[in-house]
Amino acid sequence: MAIQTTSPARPRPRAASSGPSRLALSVALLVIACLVLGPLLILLRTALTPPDTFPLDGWEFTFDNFRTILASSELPTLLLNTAVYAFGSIIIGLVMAAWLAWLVERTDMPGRTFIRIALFTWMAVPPVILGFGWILLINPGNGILNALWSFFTGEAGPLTIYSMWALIFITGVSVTPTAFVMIGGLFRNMDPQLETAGFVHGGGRWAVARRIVIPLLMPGLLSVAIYVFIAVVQAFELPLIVGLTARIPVLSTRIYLLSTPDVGVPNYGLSAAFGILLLMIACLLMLLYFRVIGAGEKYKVVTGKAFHPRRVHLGPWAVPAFALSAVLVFLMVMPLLVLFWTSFLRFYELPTFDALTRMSLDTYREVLGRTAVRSAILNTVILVFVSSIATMALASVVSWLATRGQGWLARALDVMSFSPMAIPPIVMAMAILLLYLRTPLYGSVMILIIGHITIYLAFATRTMSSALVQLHKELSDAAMVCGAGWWTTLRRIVLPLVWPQLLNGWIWVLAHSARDLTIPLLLMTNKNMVMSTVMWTLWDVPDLPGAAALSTLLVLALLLIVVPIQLWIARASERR
Amino acid sequence: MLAIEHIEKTYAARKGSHPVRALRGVSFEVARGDFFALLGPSGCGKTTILQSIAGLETPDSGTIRIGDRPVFDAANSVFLTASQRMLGMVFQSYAIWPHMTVFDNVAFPLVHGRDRKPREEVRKRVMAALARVKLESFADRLAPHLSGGQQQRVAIARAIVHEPRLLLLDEPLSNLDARLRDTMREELRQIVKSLGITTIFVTHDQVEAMGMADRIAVINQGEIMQIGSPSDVYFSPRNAFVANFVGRSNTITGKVTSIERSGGQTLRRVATPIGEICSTADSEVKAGEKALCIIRPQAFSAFAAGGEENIFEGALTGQTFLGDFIDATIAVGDTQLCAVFNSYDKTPPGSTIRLTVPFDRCVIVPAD
Repeated sequence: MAIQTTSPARPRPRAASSGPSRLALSVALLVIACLVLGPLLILLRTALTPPDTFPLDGWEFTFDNFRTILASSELPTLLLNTAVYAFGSIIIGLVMAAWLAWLVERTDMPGRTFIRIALFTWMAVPPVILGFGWILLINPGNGILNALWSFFTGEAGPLTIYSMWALIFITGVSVTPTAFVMIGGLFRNMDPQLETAGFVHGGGRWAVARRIVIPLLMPGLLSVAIYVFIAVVQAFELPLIVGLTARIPVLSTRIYLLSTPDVGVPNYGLSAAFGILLLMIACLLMLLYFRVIGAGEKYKVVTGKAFHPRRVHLGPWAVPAFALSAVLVFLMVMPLLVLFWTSFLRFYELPTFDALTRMSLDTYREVLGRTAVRSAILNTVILVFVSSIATMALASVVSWLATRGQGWLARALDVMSFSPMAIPPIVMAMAILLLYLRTPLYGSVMILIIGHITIYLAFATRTMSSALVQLHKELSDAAMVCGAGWWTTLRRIVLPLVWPQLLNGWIWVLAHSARDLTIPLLLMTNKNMVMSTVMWTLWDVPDLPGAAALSTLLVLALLLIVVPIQLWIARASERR
Repeated sequence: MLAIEHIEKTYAARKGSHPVRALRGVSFEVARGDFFALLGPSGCGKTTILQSIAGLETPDSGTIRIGDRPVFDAANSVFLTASQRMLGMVFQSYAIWPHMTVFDNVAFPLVHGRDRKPREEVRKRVMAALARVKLESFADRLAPHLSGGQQQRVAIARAIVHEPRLLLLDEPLSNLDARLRDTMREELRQIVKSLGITTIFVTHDQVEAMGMADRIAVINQGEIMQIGSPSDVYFSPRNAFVANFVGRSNTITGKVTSIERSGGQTLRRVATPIGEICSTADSEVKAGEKALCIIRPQAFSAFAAGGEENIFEGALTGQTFLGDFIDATIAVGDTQLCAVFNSYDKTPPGSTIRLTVPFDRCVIVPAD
């Protein structure tokens, strides 16, 4: 039978669609496009302005800024620094994460739940604070570890924070939790029958690992590596805190320095041109990431069947394995402990018995007494709650429309909402600064909220759409057939079922919004200070105990929100 | 009660493939109180038809009327959403909401549907529906704590609690194990019949369709092949697809040589490789046309009883003992015929068998 439409032309039913309407899809697409594309267009326009002019003054276009970049001798250094920094960090991060993930997910190591919870809650710790802590630990003058070294050997300590290896090590440690979560998922979702089949057919332990487990995990591991690589290339806070003093400029810090120099006029044109360069690199990496993910699909080992992974019996190795993992976790917690210590002193000093007697809450009292700090705390509360709730609401609607809608509009919405993933936060911050510089929004908390919605939208949409895709379509169809409208269906059936993922996305955005320094620092005026920017200014003064006290407060507040919710989500998803 | 006229549905081409014509002008009517089965292989479009009736899928053209009201009319842009159609439906996955108790699942249509009821009435009706599926004692259980069979009963209770005009069942038995399926088949038909709800039932299993339905529509590649009672479809298949999909059959190609009328009956003579076959069954094939002669394995008897019968002789080449009967293969010339023997009749392999089949058991259909 020939495949050909023989029916005469009939009017196609326009309103007759069982999915969301085209109007709703178009509106959502427009909102996302304004959020994402608007700032980027201004960024491009600024990069093409002649040097020493303000953005949006006149209609002159020139490639001068790009010529300056390409001709300058600093470009090779910048690229090399960025590459060395990123490669070094992911090697450290991946090795640590893979080791911990294997122990936690695939062995019977004691205390594995504790380690998993510790790493999952790690997202509540701002990288800025880690940077502060590590500076106090290993700065060449009076770093605690260096002091310990000279106490035992009598020589000056060998460690220095202001070096490439220290920057790499600290960043490697700080990306470990992210890599752990991703690699843990890989280990957990691998059907143990694939391994069992290898053993049954005569394979030894080594043969099964080499021929079955590693090849199956390879695409996944590669995609995790690229993902972390992108994150490190985009990283701004640690290169700012550690790298500037060490005179190790990378692309992200260069953009910042050009737009907010200590002396002279901001060179927005050149800064924007560097931003475009970083954006292009990030986009290329993102394309690579999708290629690898696509290749991984053919090995898809997630069968959807419920199974419990085989756990390796560690036997006598259990205790050393746990000890080593505990050391790794301690390594991550160490900078927090130093800050905790410092926050109880009026002036920073090494931990000694003598210093113990001078511990007090004076710093907290003094810091909290300042009006600037109080208003910063209020601003932070407004920022994190408004931006996280708004992001999740927008992401829920967008992903619902994108997964249930049909046609190119739905696909465009999906791509558009994911695209901020490739935009480095520092570039987005720069672009938002340029767009709103001469509007009343500049200098308000509102502009920070817009910035955070834009950069966290991609993650939130991904979380929500993967939750909605997994939801069997018949569950919502059943409600419709029972006579419920779309709003009742969403409220009574869909949202209660994806509630854990919604909550998970919400605390992720909340924690990241609270710990972020990039957006608040680039858009900082004296009216929209938040805790992270106040911490940064106190550190710069330097008022180390003050910064430490605020850091401690921020971490404690975040832990108080994140830990109970994480525990609740873990319990809720076990019940299913 | 339900009238479908000429609905068509074409899915747009994906990259590198042709557009798929899922429905090619499907029309049928279902009378009030009927139990109607849509039977076909997977991918034949039967689920698309059911989803179009439910309002979960939009056909490209045609009309669908439930009762005297059109719920879909492409020409006049009429489209009622699923929630406006007031139906009951049992999904293939059952779609029991895992975050609710059994009671809340069943109460949903009465609490959130179009026809809302006061609390007391809801309680009474839900318990009555649960009683009908023998799950009264499970009302407060959380849905995930139920077995497959129990989940299915909850799905049925939810679909009938608001006494819908039309009940749609999407392969409701396919996820159950064989024994449970046999009991549920009886029970489901009995529940639906006692309520008198018009029911549309999608299945790929001919045993389910034969055992439960008043009428069956056999569907293949988006077209209805035949509509009729189970015995109609079995004894008088309209084409080779129906003959082979509903039960098994021997299909022998041939050519109609003559049509004779005698004593109110029409006799067709068909020349085939295994000799002339005579048929008195109703047929539309004209003299001189190519035809297929369809004979069910059960139509043969190994021992002649006399009367008007076709007779074939061949060697027994294979037999499979299946307990309830013996599946036998007999070679007549180059053609292998399949026949069913009584389990107690032992025949040595290779022996010559004489098969006889009455004229009215040979069905002549047009060759494709």
